Amino acid sequence: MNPRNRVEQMPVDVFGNDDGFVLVADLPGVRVEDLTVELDKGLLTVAGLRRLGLDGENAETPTFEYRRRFQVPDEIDGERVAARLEHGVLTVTLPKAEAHKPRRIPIS
Amino acid sequence: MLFRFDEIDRAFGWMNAVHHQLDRMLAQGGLADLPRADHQGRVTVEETEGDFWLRADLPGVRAEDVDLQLDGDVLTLSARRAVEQPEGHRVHMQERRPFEFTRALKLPGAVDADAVKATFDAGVLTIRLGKRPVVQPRAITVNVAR
Repeated sequence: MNPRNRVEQMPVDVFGNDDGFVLVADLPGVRVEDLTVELDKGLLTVAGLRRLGLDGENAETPTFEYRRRFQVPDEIDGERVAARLEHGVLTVTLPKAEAHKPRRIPIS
Repeated sequence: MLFRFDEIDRAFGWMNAVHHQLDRMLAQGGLADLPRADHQGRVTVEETEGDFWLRADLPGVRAEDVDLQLDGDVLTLSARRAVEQPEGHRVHMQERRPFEFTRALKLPGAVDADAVKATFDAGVLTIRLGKRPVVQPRAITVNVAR
């Protein structure tokens, strides 16, 4: 099996209050440049390529993809969704609003 | 329900994958895994010609909450993390777990204690342990005077 075709899901927490939602995902081994967070038509996709060969010395170490999708409520303001990746943990904040416009979310 | 899984998410089990990979890596690395506490960490052990490599998934763990000790051929790794819930929020989904564990790994060969290097990047701890060179038995020719 080609490890590049392997997909795994990551454990996720989702919290909410009147202002919106916070999604927290464990993504160890995923760097900012290998992570995509996308919101399109109410579907939030989090996908990250996990690299184990962090020093580049173990080329045979499996690489695989974390991928998971979430249905988000229409009331989320796509323009104000923000994502942060720190120590292998992704935090996505999804504020509530009326806007439904799909957009790619920049990762800081 | 505000957030729900789609079909992709139902098809894969996180913990199953962890256990499978752990078993496989340990079998491949030939390392004996001493008794350990339950935790979510994923550990990969590999052996190259000159080194042993250990990689541990420690997402959300701060560097100061990792402890690493080498005693002879036993490497002991301890790590912990807390999982915080934002104040005033309802919980819609809770899969991430806090953990605190200590694992002792018996290495199949001697390690040069001065050649151990640990790095922590993107929530993954990488430890490189340089092997101690094996002293080869030398054949000595002895000329016996007659």
